[in-house]
Amino acid sequence: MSKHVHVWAGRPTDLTSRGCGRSLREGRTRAAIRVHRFWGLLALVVFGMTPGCKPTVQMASLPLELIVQDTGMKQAGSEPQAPPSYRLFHDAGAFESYWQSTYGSAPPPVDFAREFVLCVHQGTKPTGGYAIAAREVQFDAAQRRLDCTLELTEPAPDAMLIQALTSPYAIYRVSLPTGQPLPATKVEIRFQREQAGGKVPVQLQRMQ
Amino acid sequence: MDQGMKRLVRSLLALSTATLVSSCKSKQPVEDVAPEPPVAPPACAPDEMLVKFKPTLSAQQVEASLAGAGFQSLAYFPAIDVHLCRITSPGDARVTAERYTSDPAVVYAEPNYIYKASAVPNDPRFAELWAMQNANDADIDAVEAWDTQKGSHDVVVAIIDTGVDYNHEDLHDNMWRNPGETGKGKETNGKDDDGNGFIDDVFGWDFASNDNDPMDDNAHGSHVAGTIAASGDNQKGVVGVNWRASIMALKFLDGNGSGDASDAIGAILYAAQNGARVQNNSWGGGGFSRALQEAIVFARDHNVLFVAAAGNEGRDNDNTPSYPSNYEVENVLAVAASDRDDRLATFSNVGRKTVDLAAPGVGILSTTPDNGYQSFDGTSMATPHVSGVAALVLAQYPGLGYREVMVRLAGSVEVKPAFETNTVSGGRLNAQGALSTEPQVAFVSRLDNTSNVDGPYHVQAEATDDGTIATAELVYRVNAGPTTMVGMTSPAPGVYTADIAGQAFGSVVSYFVTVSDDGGQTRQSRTFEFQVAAPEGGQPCGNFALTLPGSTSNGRQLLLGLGNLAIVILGILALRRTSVQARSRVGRQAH
Repeated sequence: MSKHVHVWAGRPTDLTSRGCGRSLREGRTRAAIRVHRFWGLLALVVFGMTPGCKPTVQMASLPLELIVQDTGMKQAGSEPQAPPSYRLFHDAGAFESYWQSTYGSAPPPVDFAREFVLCVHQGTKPTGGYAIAAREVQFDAAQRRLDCTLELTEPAPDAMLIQALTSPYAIYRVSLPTGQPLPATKVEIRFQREQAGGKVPVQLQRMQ
Repeated sequence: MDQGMKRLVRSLLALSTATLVSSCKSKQPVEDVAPEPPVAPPACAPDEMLVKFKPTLSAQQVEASLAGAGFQSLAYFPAIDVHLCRITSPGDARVTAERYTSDPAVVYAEPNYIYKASAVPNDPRFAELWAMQNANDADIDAVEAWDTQKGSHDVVVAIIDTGVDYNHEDLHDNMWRNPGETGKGKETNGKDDDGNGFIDDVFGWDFASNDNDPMDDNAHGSHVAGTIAASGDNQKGVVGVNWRASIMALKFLDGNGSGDASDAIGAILYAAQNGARVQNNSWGGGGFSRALQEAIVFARDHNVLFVAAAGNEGRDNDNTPSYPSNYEVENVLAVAASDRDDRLATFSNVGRKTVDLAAPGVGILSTTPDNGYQSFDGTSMATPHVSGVAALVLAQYPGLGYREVMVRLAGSVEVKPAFETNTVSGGRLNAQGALSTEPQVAFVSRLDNTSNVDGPYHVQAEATDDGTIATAELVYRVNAGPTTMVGMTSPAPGVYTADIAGQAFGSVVSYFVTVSDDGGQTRQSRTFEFQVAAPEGGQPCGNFALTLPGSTSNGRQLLLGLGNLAIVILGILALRRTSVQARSRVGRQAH
């Protein structure tokens, strides 16, 4: 019983090292070794499918170029309580339509043969002091998936802030690696943010 | 508010007063009840009236009737068969017309009313400013107010914010220019010409960067500035509540809309020391800061009104304070946001005891940097409407103190269901009312339910007028009993107090304050009500009734606590007695 407790207690800190194939300490009983082996194999199976420990999958980091970032006020008349969301533009027509409706001007040039546009919106916030930025975008061509690491800024608890509704967002031009065009459809995108202790998933609703 | 609506409101007011009186089984005469506030009669030509005669009358009969009454026909409108007549006899045209209507030959006679064109500015996007004028009358009656006052460059309003685009086409002419730092190259000579501690502070100061360029890098401050005083009638963009004023730009919030207490304090002190009469604070956050509160007190002592946004968390500031609007300093006026249907904005904070009034704060179009115009939402947008009206009031009545301005703003609100129970004033800003020559009464004590039967229940109110307040009276009624009027005394200028006598359990006391000025104009506050109820768990005896205004649950807890304490003491005494008896027995056995 005490060995089980020992195994469970050690699991959170030891799992990764076991998953990466390091040897166990000597002096443990056979039963304990069997239990450790079981958890180690389980960890290899489970964590091998997550981005945290995947030595065999090649994730290409894509160059990001900021087009516009706005931490300012939400335009009145838009959705009163918009959720966090994102938009992906693969073609010039859709991007131009979006840009025109938002800014009323011609969009900046984007070579959609080699680039795509990513917009990330933090959602409606009650005050100033919020900001959203994409820090890294990785592309897994085999999985047809983008992994985007966001930096989400929130006001300090004692900050003095404008009392207007805000809707922070950022728009990026993202370059694709040569020979790996972004699929026009069915591309998955996952968002995460860095915080103490590692990256945690962030839910953003896809907007058309 | 249009005249028809005003008449309706006044009728309802009169009806409510009448209801209060008619249900009273009083032996006191009805005259004891506060009279209906007089309605200012509309202007009319003093010696003219419009008359329609019965269609059966011939032209000769009409002439004869007019001549017989001493009238002379000036013009005739055959399409509607109406005569414009000159009244040759002396007297009030209204009375004369009313009297002539009773003539059997006349269908009606009415004064020749004078209509003035309202001051609608030529700013091209004026129609989009629903807060100034809209169809369903959720606006602040700015157009009606502009018939009286359009603002003055003599009134300096400090925008304590993200800065102001002082080059904006609709703001430039209304920017404050520090007289001590302008002219003869003083703007850029690198000297503190006016000795105020700031070098070349022409438009104000940037406390975030500690320099003399308070340019807006966010848009928030410029938007606020436009609502207060975008130039009116300049054929550009929008118009502010003031067509002209002096906007002092004090930046302490950065481009992300965030700042700290020390910079806010710097801006508040600067504004107070450099002539601003109103400080607009469309910001909030942070905990209680004693230093910031002292800065606001400093502003108060310089006769500065401090208008603050209530906040956007959709919560009750009575329970969770939001600073700076919750600072308990006499010059702080807290503002909630209303929408174009006179509802509370979904995001707006409220506070029955801590948020003074509401003002339009949803879909507000105003100025943004680089000659832009955008619509935004927030109590940030409501606050400058109030600051703007405060500036209008000060342009009309320059000698007023900050507290008198507050009484005018809070006393003239249009009471609306959405704000009646969750703001101090119970209503939404009204610019025309704030400029009125009628007396204003506000900040009437809202007494909570009580278990105190001895009384008295102390009522305080504040009142102001363009002349002198002649009388202030507290009017109250208990249950269906007689109406009682008590003359109020004035312990301090503008402050009036009186007491309601103690009442028995089960009493429901309704009361209001009515004030009259030296011109005979009267104004009545809202009616409030409280109950005198025994604490739950039984009616206490005699004078044991707990005097805990507004806190019967506290009273109950105290009673329970006292009961528990009595039980514990009795228990200890019993134990002690048992112990003594036991010792006594042991002693006896030993002997």
